[in-house]
Amino acid sequence: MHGTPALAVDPTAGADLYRANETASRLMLSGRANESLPWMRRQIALLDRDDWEARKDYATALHNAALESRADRPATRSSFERIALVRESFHQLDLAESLTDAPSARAALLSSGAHTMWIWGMQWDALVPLERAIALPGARPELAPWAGSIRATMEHPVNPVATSYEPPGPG
Amino acid sequence: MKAQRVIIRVAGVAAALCAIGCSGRGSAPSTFDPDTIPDAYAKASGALMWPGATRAFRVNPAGDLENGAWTVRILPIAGTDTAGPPPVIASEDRWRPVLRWTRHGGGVTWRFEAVALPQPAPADSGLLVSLDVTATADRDGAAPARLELLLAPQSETAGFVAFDAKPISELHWGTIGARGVVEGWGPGDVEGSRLSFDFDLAAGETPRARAILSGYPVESKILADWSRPPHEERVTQVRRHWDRTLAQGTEFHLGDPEVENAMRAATVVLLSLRERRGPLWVPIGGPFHYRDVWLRDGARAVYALSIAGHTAVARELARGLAEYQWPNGAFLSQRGQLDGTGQALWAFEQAMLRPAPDDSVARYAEAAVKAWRWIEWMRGLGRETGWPYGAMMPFGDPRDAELLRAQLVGNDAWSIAGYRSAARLLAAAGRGADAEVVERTRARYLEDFEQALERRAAPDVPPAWQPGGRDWGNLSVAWPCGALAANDPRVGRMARRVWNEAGGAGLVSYGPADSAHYYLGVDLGMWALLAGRAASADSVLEAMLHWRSASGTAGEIFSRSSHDYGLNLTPHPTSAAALLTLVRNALIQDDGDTLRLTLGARPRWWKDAAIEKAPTRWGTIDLKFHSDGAKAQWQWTAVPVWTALTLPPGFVGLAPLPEGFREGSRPEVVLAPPGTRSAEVALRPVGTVP
Repeated sequence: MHGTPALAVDPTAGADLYRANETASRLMLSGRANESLPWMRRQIALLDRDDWEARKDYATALHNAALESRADRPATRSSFERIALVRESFHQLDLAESLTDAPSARAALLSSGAHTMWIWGMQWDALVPLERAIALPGARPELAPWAGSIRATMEHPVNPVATSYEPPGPG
Repeated sequence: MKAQRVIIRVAGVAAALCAIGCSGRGSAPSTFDPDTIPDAYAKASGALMWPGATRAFRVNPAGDLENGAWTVRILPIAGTDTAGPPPVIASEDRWRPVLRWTRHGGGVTWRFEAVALPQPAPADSGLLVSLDVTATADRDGAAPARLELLLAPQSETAGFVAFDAKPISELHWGTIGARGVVEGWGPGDVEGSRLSFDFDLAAGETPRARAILSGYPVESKILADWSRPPHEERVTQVRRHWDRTLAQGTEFHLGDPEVENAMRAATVVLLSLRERRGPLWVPIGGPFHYRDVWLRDGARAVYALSIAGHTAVARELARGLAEYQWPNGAFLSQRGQLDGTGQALWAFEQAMLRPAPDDSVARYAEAAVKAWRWIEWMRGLGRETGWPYGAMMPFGDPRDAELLRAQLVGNDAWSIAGYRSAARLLAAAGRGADAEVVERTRARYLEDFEQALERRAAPDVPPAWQPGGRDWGNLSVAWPCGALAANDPRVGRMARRVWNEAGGAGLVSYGPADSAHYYLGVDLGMWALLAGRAASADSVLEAMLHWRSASGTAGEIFSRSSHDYGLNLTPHPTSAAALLTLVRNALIQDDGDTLRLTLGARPRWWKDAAIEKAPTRWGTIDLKFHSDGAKAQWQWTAVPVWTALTLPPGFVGLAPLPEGFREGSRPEVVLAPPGTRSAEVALRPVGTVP
């Protein structure tokens, strides 16, 4: 702190589930992931029971928050905060995984984690869960070409053709 | 209220206080002329920093002060002339952070002095600056003078923005009796964002003005209270703090003030560039535009502080870096920078094992195992693919450094370093069997590294396993990574190539030959020390000593021809770490299984040098050495390993050696058995007949 401490104000106080969901979605869609986080948490807290999709959305928001930037600087203070956000993102994916046995849901969670690892440049950590996701019933079909692209780029990293592929969104 | 009366009163109080209370090194006023201090860079600048503060002030080339949120423009006016920019902005003794600079204009010399201190509690991240200004007429009959300090939003050309800077609509000075939130305070005339002092430059008078600057908006009363102790007292506090803090670390008495002060300046930079994160501390990449954390820079800071004897701080920072471990075991701070894992493990080893294992070493050993498993997992998967470099780290796109998306040699070199550190941490934690397992996998990794180099068939050590890329991590293969031996000819060829591109041994170039990089080549300097090329290592040191500001600190990248660092502002902590690394290892080197002393000691140091409280992997030691040209003498704290003593430059040992001693791997090296406390070796100049 630099001077007189200010009391933190919770912007979500009193918001119902609909408002929390609507606000979180709007902020995420407008690229304001950091601002969406308290609304995501509010949404999870208001649900009747813990929900894997809400956890997965929160994990995505956390990851996006780590990458968010403003016009002249990152939205986060430093890599310390960014890595903490990513770690929490993986924690949320773990929680989500504990809430579902559905293969398609597990595939979605695996590919979400893979996406984070891919973004941060850990190729094996992206490819292995991605290939596990592809093997599950209900996995999104576009995951297979993404995995193929990663594998090709890993074998030939400086080949521009292999890297022209853009992965699907985290879904 | 007119300022002039206040100014005279403040000066009088200061003099009275010093008469009764100021004595000793910490308060002795220095009379140095900043314009006599050398500065290698085209732009004069200075940094006002403090450990834990989240903003710093830069004294910019115009002589203004800026903190990333606003600028304090300083207009010293005599008659109709505004003084020009300061030629030099210097630290006291070219290291102690008491900044001085001088400006001239209208027949008046304006002298500035500034120090930074922490904002008093309960604030824990604020910074206050005491700024003192005097004006002296260069001749009788000078025009009336006026000093104006204008608060203005940060200029877009400043080159940095504070992470927490907010759009500013108004900025305010506080003054005597004023209330409200302000950005600065001074006992002058205040009109909104302008603070001014009118000076009557009568013959023999040297009127003074003082202002307090804050890193953050604060209540005017806080700054008014802080201004009560005169400027001299604040300067004394700064001197005492840094003198005492540095005395807690290793003390280097080399009979070489330039080198000793350069090390002090570097240590101040490293100790200052730390921020809190809750109960933790992290090393930041710079006070201005690099106010973030990189594992690659943080690891260097941890190492340098460890070998400089600031063990507690090094360990605090290592604890901060531990937060960068991902659930998979990797350490990563920036996207695509896969060298972070090895660097983090190396930093843990350096901080936690020197001078003796820290109580918490088991925690770091466990973190290292997790990281090692991650790399082994990847190497296993890669081997199964049959890809040309499948057993090496996968490709990375650091968007920095090598500037290439490829499998980078430096990533593997650092991983190998991480394995060695993991094994040492495990051994220190009492997990000898696990350490042996890690060592076996390290041996296998070294074989794979060798095979990859053969497959790559490059003439030396390339930046990447694929073609292209700038030299970066590959420069670290011999030291600190130990992926190749110091006597490996490929490392020698790499050094020759890189130094040739830069015009000789010294600072290497990054990209264009004119673009000098301060710290990038330090690992080649270290390699040169270990390879017995002390002259090359000394050339690196000489270049590092040269390319420093008048504050004694260094930048990162700058033009050799124009001496301009552009917006890559000084000081850079990794440059500070590099200088400390090279000097300390030229005296005491403790990486391997042998303590090496005076590996690159300069002739001047041999006149009579003493190093006190130097932590090594075998405990804290003292060292003295001396040579009169006929013999070389050492005294040092006994260690349980062999000690390699390097003779003064230009000499070899004259038989017989002391009993129990052995000849070293080179003629200028003598080995002393474990437990030795002193040695004397007769010398013969190289080239003379024994």
